[in-house]
Amino acid sequence: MNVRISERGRRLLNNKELGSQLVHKIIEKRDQLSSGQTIDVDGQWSVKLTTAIKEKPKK
Amino acid sequence: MNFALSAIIIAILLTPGSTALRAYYTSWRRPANELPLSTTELLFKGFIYSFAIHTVALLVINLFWSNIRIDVLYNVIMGKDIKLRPKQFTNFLIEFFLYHAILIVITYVAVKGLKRFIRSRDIDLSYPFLSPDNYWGFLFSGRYLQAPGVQGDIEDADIIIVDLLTNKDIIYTGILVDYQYDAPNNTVANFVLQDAFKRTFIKAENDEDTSRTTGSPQPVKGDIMVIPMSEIVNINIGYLKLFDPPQTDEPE
Repeated sequence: MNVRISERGRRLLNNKELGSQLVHKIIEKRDQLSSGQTIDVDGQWSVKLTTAIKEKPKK
Repeated sequence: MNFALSAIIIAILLTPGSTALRAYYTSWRRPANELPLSTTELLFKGFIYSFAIHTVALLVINLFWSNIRIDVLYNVIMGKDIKLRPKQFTNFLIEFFLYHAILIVITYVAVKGLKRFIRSRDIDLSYPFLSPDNYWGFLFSGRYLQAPGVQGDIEDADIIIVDLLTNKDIIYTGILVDYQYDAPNNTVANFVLQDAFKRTFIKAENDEDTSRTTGSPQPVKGDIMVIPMSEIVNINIGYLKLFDPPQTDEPE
């Protein structure tokens, strides 16, 4: 695997429903996430944005 | 014949430098992080390194063992007559190949050790020319977060989420689980997403949800989604820290 996924992240990925919930929450609450707030995912798991970057592919 | 032999000898003389570059810029464990280097680049860029490695090796050999017949090597390369009996010439060739075989092994091991040292001390983050990773490998392995002036730490990145805006004005958002690196073009060929959602970049006119600026997200069916870079016009990369419920069976 070439992508950073921690042990905690792997546990989340193994739960199909939770992963889907997480992505949906991130899309819906992007503004709160971007402002540094922690977002609740399912009442137990929560998520915070560490940092974000923008990239453009070379054409 | 002499020209061919000279070319072979020169190519062999350049191998320690190219071995050093290969050892530094390739990885068995993380092949997608490698920097692209063609064989021609390896030979030419490795010229300086080869020169330095041979200088050190010859000094050591001359100091502790015996003199090297550089004059014979010079005559072979220049296509001049070699005043050696066949057996002496055979011995010379055996020594020459043995010297290179040992030098290549030592160079490979030493450079791998040096690379490990540089990475363990994060020296390459302060001096980017020492970075053994390509740019995308640097980003997606999370090492980007350890670079000076970047907010966060690699331990604060449990997963990476990406928003991929395609040339059809569709945004795909999902957890990045893998990618294929296109080494010749030094770019990503495909992104592999898990739990992907798609939405339109432009919000529908009849959409009354004021909390969004884009279309309504719809889950993409299937476990994994592969999106080619050729369709992507913009990429947002987010490093996420997860807070999980307390584990009773795994001490934190």
